[in-house]
Amino acid sequence: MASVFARRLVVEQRRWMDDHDFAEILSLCQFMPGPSLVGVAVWVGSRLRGMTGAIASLTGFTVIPLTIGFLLGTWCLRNTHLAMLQGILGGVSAAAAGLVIGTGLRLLVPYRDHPMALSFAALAFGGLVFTKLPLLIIIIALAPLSVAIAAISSARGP
Amino acid sequence: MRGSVTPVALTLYFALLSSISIGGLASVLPDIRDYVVAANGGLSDAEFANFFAIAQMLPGPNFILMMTLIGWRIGGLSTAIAIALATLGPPCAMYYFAFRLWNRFRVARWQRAARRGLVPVTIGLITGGGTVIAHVADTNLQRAITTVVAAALLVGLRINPLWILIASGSAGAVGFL
Repeated sequence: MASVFARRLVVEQRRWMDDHDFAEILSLCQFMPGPSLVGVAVWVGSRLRGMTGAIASLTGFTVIPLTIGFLLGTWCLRNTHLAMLQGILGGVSAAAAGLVIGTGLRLLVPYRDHPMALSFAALAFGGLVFTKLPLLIIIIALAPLSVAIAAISSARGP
Repeated sequence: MRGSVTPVALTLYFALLSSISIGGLASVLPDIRDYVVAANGGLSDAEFANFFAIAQMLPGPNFILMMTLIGWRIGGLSTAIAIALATLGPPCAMYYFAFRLWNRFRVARWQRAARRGLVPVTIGLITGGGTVIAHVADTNLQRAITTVVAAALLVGLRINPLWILIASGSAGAVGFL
């Protein structure tokens, strides 16, 4: 969700880079470990001004929002006995779970004609949901295999 | 302090999760839940769902916010600050060096293979993480329907997710969910 606002600022309002560059940064950061929008802040900052830019952008992106979020969050946690807050949290978490699933499904659409990609997505999904294996084990088991198969098939293909 | 998990162990574990969380918060949610609910953190599933909801509706990097709030709950303010730094630092350093490496090898073949191989695994992890959270959060039929409708609206209509959150939060506030 924050990516929507980040794009607005970087591309539309300040015109620091175009949509193509921003999309590349966003997708790369999403497929790297770590909080992806923190990654976007670091990448946009370093592309504009090197290490100094990265630190400046990161500070702006984390210190103030985290402080506000933390203060509001602890207030919410102290008041979870309020029926209304309980209702809001219940509604938001149900919807947010759906949004996460929806995001995954949306990302899957371009791969609908790639059986190998779909199989690896299904294996990762099943590993996380049904086997209860730790994430690290799932990644170690699937990622190298998936990259190797992609490398072989792209070497053979056009 | 609650449960048997120590603040130091929690901080180190969250730093590890932050460094391996391909696909964002969703993929490590099951691991976080296992650690703080099932194993030894002493939290209940309902509390865990609250942490998730609060992190989703507040501003800022919700991934770090959720871990920080869990730290606050288990070990107080010092644990919260330690977790914020430990979950931010290593990924940031990694992002910075990855940026320089990526720029140097922009046209290399291995970049394409790495992307094509990693993306499907990532997608599976994101969708799986959402499913685990739905399992925890959807304690009644209305909430389960909300989850399905939210996913369908995002996929089908591409409307701004903020509106979906506001609508379901409001429905919850007046007692519908």
